[in-house]
Amino acid sequence: MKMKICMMMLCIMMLQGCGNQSSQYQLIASIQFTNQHLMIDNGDSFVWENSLITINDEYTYEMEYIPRGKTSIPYQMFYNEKGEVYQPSILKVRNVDINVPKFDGKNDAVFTW
Amino acid sequence: MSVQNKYKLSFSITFVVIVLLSSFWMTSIPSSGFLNFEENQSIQFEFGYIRPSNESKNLEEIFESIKDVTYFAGADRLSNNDNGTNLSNFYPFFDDLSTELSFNEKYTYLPYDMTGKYGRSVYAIDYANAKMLFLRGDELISQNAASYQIEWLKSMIETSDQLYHIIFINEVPQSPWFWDVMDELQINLVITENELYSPSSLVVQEPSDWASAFVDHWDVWNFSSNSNIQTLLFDAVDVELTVTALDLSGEAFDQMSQNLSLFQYDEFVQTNTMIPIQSLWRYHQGSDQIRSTIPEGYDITGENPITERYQIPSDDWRSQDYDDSNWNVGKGPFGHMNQKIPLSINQKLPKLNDSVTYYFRKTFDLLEDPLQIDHLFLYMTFEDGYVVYLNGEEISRDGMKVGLTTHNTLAQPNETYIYEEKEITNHRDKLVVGKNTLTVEVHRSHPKSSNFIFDLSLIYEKNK
Repeated sequence: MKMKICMMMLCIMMLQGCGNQSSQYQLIASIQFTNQHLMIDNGDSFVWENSLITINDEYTYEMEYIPRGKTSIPYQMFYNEKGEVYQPSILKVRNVDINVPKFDGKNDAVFTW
Repeated sequence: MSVQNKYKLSFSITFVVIVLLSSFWMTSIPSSGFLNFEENQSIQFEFGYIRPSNESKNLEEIFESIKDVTYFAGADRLSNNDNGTNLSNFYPFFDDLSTELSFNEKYTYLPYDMTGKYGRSVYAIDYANAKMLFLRGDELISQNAASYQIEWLKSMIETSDQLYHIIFINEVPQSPWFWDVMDELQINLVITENELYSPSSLVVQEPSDWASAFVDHWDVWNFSSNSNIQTLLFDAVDVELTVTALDLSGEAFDQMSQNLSLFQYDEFVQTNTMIPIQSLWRYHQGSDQIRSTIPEGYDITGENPITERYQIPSDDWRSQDYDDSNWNVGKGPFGHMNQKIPLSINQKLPKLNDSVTYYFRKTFDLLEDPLQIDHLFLYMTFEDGYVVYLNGEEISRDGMKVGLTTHNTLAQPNETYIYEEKEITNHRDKLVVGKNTLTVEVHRSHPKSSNFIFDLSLIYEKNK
């Protein structure tokens, strides 16, 4: 009996891991890289406004507009809190987060790569 | 039965499968692009013109040295010393050194008596989308527009479906009537022994010895003083024709090109160029510092295009009043190309790391009432995408998604377009009498892409 309960708990935990982390709107996006640029493809039907892009949870760049389609951003635009610029020759991109605040007037929209 | 015999068939099949799969490993499987089952629709032709010179080789040697070309044209006397050469791919023009009778006997493969008067010495051949017409200058010089040859020429052109009409003639008449006929029939090349004549409006690339001809709106490439030119190679793809001069060793050393979509002179239409190709422009690389505003009522997604007229502030780079005095000045075409194109770039632009865009500004004057204009055209040379604004309002875009663009916006991957016609007549109300400003943003499709090019001309037509 204990075994069955443990198995059910395990299944519930695994299924929870498959879902979205939150109820935030997920942006439709794809990411590409060159050795000097981050390329973001905005696949949504709207322009992302005041987007905050974060590389490796540390280096950020805020863009007023990211239109539909592909946008190229040089890594030299990304800085951390200490004011250090992102250096692609030393660092590898491990993750990219995009946050579009109040995309519909109320809720944020996010994308994580 | 041994294991080897028992599984002989299985071993064989496995071996064959391994061999087949290993071929994948040794093959470069395409990882990009797409399979296109459509046939290539472009029409092409290639032929050579051999120029008589003192150092010329005999015809057989020239045929051998330019193996890619099947057909050649040239003066009759080029074949005088080629008794053993098969001349069937050589199309001569009559140069008055032979008699008409001997010309007829020598070139038995030429059409006979197309004119009903000159035997084989005046004739026409069709090759791909070109009609080549071989005339006799010695007869025309002493005649007039009502001459037998001209009447025949008119009938040939009027019934022709060919795009290119090229005339070979030993000596060109200087009389205005001859050139009026050339204009009327929209002849795109007249070739004599030492000269090549082209309507000025068709030329998109000039060779080094290029000059205005003795008649209006015709230019001439005179190669009589350049003994290095042995052969001209004519290479046409659709509306674009490239003429390459080859030296005695077969090396290319000069070039001109035409674009037949630029044919302008219709007797009922007056064509005016507001911005010619290869003009001087102000230009600046894309930057956050170059201000671009969003007009009120403009849908940045592009799904609901703005229909109202709008004004942009004077500090917007597209504004007529924008201060561009610190921008660079250069002559089009601008850019850098990694592939061969029939244009030479006049202003090389460095590849940018901070932006994928260059901005261009050009001011021009219009003296006529814009409402009297019947047709307005842009001829765009570009790769990969652009947006054009007239006095601050968008009038044309290609290779770019609709809606807002920034200097970081990438274009869609595109081929190189050379003076592609864009009709923008519905934007003529954006022209004003007096000073106008055309501004262009040109985007690449990848921050590392090796090709980038821009030039344009702005032309209007008015019914007479």
